[in-house]
Amino acid sequence: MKKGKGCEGKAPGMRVRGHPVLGEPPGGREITVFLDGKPLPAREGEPLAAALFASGIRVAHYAAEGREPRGPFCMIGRCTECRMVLEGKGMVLTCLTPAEEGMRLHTPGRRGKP
Amino acid sequence: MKLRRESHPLVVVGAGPAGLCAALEAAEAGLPPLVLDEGSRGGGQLVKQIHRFFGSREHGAGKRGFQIAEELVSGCLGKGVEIRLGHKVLGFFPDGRLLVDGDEGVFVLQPGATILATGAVEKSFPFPGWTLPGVMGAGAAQTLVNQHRVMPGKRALMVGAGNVGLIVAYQLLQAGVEVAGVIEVNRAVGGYAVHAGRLRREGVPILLRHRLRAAEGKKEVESVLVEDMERGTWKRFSVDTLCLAVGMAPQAELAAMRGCRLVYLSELGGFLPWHDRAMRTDRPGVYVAGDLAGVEEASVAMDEGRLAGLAAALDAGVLDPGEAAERMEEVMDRLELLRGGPFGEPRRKAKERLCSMTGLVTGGAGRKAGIRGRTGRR
Amino acid sequence: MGSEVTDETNGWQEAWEAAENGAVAVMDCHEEIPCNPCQEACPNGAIRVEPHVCALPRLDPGACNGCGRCVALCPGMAVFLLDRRERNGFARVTVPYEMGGKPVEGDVVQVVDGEGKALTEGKILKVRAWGGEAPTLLLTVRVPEEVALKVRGVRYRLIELDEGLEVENAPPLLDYPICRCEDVSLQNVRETLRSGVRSLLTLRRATRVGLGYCQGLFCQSSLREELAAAAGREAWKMGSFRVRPPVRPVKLGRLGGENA
Ligand SMILES: Cc1cc2nc3c(=O)[nH]c(=O)nc-3n(C[C@H](O)[C@H](O)[C@H](O)COP(=O)(O)OP(=O)(O)OC[C@H]3O[C@@H](n4cnc5c(N)ncnc54)[C@H](O)[C@@H]3O)c2cc1C
Ligand code: SF4
Ligand code: SF4
Ligand code: FES
Repeated sequence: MKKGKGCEGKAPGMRVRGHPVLGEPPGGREITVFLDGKPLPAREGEPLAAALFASGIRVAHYAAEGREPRGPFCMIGRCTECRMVLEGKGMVLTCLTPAEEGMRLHTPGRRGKP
Repeated sequence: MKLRRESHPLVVVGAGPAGLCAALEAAEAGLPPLVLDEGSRGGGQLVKQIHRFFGSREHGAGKRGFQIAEELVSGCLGKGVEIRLGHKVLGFFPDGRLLVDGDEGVFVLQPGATILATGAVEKSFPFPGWTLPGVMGAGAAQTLVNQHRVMPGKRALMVGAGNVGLIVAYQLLQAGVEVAGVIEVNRAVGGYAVHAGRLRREGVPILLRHRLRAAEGKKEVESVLVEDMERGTWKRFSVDTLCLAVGMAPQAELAAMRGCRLVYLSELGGFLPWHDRAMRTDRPGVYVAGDLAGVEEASVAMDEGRLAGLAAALDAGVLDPGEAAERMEEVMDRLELLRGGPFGEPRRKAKERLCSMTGLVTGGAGRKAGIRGRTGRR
Repeated sequence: MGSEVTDETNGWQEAWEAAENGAVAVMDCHEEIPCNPCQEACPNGAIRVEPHVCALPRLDPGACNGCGRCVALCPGMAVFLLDRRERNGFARVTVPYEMGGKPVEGDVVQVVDGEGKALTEGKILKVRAWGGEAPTLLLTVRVPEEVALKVRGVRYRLIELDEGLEVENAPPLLDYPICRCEDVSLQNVRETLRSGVRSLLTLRRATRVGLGYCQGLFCQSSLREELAAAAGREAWKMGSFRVRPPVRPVKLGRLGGENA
């Protein structure tokens, strides 16, 4: 994809492209994980929370009987607000858990869902 | 099942600039330590920093934070220091043993001596809407754009015009996030004028005497309410991201658990382990350095680390006292100068008050010296 | 002379004059901060930060040949080059640049002042990179002489200035959680305090604040402040939660020696 100037021409999604100091991001393999059953693109090895942000998804779970959406607050494994259910692992901190092909994530506490 | 045991003559907790410089200095003195860090890269805060650093040559000034980190790590490896990344220290018991969680499982580590360089954590405070997704620490936003290379949102408001707020706001712009402004309750910018200048010339307003009132939105942040304290009016900013840069506090849990005496010094970020000029705490064989010993700067953290490394080597009997004294003197003089100027002065005075009391004096004598203290041990 | 020289203490006057013969550094650094890479950068010893690291940098324009290294390496991006050789009402200004837009020579860009306001449009005459593996760009633009000393940067980004929309009536302060992990509301904490609770530990027992995963990391200082307000004491005297291992979330099985 050709780089545009400034803000316009930025690639879709929330990935940082053409960084003036860091250049292009290191290319991890493109993989697919699943969020509540729907496919979601990710880079192998990046934290699951980063893959979610890259698609503009910022709600990790719901607290207070489903009334309160919550999302990553610290990105270093301290606040536990990024917690989600990963099939086969149970509750994980998505800001620290590296993405692997085929992982199945669920948003806990969504109203109407367990 | 019993936990595995291991021992090491010198253990450093934290591979930030303080821990790495401590390790380097101890290794040079003939006591190569084992360094533990929970991160996946060595360098602590520096890993995320993409701006050029202040300080002088001894601190790698003029280079970018992550470059300084790389140099420190390779310097340590070249001196025979073992750095184990992905290792969380879970506990530090009063008898001196450490509980560590690493890729080899959880194990108990018996150190001869321990240097704590666990850095600082970001402060935050509650306000209406602070639990909405899109509200995050400035550090989280910085980790996202510089390390994971994704944007936290499209348009952000920064709270706090200290150096961290100013620097992270600039780095958000570099990553392609628009910044609506930086708000600050005080009458003046807290960070360096040159950092404020870099941001202002990008057209980002720094709004002084503006107080954060609420983050609003149904599922995520959609807008932020701010009070203009001079005019008594309220404004609403349309942003999807709100970053908090309202200070850092020493990460003193491990020191507290070990029983180190903690003192409260607001100039240095809050509760921190008492220590002397050579970075010894009141517990034998326990040293501190860097942001844990008072939130300052990487340059200071490096020099404090050097002192801690020297003190540990001296106390272990591997370093000649005359040589140690000479080296320490040199580093202490440099620290004094780093804390010169209007920004460093309050920190220099706080450190002086801290070191002017001896480790074991009682609360009363401490109060006389202006030290607010309490012990971590209960 | 075309432009007002606003700061004589930092050698701008001399720099302005020296710039008639070619590029020379102009330092916009006026605070005593612990910093001296500009001095280290200069191959000609033209910058002195003396007698100590917090002193203000001083430039000797006579020794400066306008190489631009200090411009690239200054962490505050506070050094610029001024070149008035053309002597036809235009000057060349070189600024450090680390934003997006991939500047190339010939681009016509907005040239901005210290507040980000557009001074003029200028053509980029030269793009250089200096400063190690992740270099800083040095952009040289041609601008009318009278604005030359006001130039602080160039801008590719489109900016949307947003002064915020005035809100008529201040909305009422809502209740909100003070402890994120256990979802304890501010009102709940205040009510408990009204019932006479005066210590962190009793407060925790009564409301579950600080019992969550974060071990009180995110709520402790606000709780201390609420307690202090209720007790009429200083916040730091209100104590802390006792720290217990593990200080990081860890799966229980691992503490039993499993490695999964
Ligand atoms: C946005 C920002 C910009 C900055 N810019 C500058 C600048 O321009 N110039 C400057 O001089 N300074 C700057 N600083 C400050 C500087 O980064 C810090 O002062 C410095 O990093 C402190 O070093 P440290 O080694 O004490 O702590 P840190 O760098 O925080 O390192 C602490 C390390 O300890 C590890 N750790 C903590 N607890 C545990 C545990 N229980 N188990 C295992 N490991 C643990 C952490 O993972 C971390 O790696 C900046 C800081 C920030 C946030
Ligand atoms: S432009 Fe070059 S010669 Fe002039 S002060 Fe800067 S580094 Fe020195
Ligand atoms: S390098 Fe820049 S910020 Fe530092 S003293 Fe020199 S001019 Fe000032
Ligand atoms: S975002 Fe805080 S623990 Fe993951």
